[in-house]
Amino acid sequence: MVPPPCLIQSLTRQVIFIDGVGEHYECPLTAGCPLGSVLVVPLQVDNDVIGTIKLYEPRNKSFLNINKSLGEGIACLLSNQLLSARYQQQKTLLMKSELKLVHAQINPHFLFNALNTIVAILRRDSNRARSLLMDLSDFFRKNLKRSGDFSTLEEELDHANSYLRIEKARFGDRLAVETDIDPAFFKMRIPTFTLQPLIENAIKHGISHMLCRGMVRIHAHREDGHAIIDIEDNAGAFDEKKQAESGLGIKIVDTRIKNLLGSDCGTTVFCEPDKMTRISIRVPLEKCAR
Amino acid sequence: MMHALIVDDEPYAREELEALLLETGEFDIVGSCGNVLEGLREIRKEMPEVLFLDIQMNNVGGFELLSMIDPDIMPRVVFVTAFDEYAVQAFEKDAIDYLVKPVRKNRLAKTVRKLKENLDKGKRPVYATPDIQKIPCVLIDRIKLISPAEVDYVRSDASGVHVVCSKGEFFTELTLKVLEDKTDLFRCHKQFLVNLKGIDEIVFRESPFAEVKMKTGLMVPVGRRFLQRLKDRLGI
Repeated sequence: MVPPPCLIQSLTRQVIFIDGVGEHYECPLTAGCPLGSVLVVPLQVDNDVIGTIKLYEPRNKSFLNINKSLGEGIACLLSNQLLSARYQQQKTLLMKSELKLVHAQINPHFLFNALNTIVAILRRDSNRARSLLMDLSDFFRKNLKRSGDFSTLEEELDHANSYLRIEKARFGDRLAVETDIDPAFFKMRIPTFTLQPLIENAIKHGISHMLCRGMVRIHAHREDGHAIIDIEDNAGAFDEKKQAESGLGIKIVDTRIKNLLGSDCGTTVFCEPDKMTRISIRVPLEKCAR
Repeated sequence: MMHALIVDDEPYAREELEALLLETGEFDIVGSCGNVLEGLREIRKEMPEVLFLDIQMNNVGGFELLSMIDPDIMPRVVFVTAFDEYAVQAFEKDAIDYLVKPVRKNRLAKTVRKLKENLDKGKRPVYATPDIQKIPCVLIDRIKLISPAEVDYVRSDASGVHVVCSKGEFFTELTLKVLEDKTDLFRCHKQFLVNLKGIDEIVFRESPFAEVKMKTGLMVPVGRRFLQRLKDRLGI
């Protein structure tokens, strides 16, 4: 069906008004159509015309100005509501894509370097290679499968440990990890994908710059109704100026914790240049016990 | 036999590549280095014909390392990377070849052919390398990266090249010549480069000697042959 010419015109954003006095509306569909005047107002969202509002009057009735205003008003109202809906939708999309970004930290470099390491280890220790492949597989599966906003700290630690065993193989004796967390914390529920991205950050922007042994320490303690989980490295390479590029992981994790648990929670960074960097995750004990 | 050096910051990646290269029977591995400073040192010492260079290293990447090699001893470079990316394509025309990790044996055979052809031509390769953004310096247990803009002056003596800035004095494997060519640091003496932006005044001693006084108060000697060039450069 060919759209009537006025509709084509209004798709180019113009308001069309054929008042039935100076100019008569000719219906392209039915001969002898009783309609005599029309108002076509485009519905716009973000400069795109996504539809039109059309008001008709029969030949024997004049198109009142008040109805013209009504048509334009409705179009304006709907356009605004559509815009706001689109804004909301994009905000959700942004949140989701940010989370995806955290997932996407299974980056291709990590994957292929891990595979390359395993290929090398196969030459002399097939059992170790096998166990690393299991770690790689666990890590990927958890990255792909874990849904939901919360995981237990134990699950988070498992996930981080799969990742760390691979990194330890890649870095050789340049990376050591020390985890000391009271099992009483294990059942605590914290936002999913909190621990591993922060540990990856400590390795990527800290330990990897060191020539001798880098150390990552993961600790937890209680502090006025909150649990504090510390991830500490001995590189002390955190640079506030470089936050924008390197700290994206930290920022996403922080925003997510704040969104899910309140603005008094989240991450803080403490750095003693060239000595150590500590990222602390603060979550409420009571809220996370459930 | 081609003399080859491997630079990659992952120990198993080096081991694997070394094993593959030896299996071809075409290479003599002169060294295998885990960071850019070791790499530069070995290139100077061994002057390898071929360099297998990991692009994605953590503190200083492969491309940046190329800027730091003296052109007179520039080896043929084969890039090695875990993942193809745009950056590789940009360098493709320059590099003899590039390999993706894990490396396949028959793919390596192709690299060997290309290398042999290129070595037969005999000319040293020239790479269009960018300016040095960070000067890698040696600390006891880490590599410190110093931006050329932060530097007051660079000094060379029998013990090597030292970068002097407000944070202290640091040893680097880069030569004065490379730093002169690839940064804005200006040669003011046979053994000194100076940061022109840090100069406070030029102090004329008994002719023909002069020194520059830096804003930090440090004094840097100006060589007799370099004084006019320095004055020209500063427009005085």
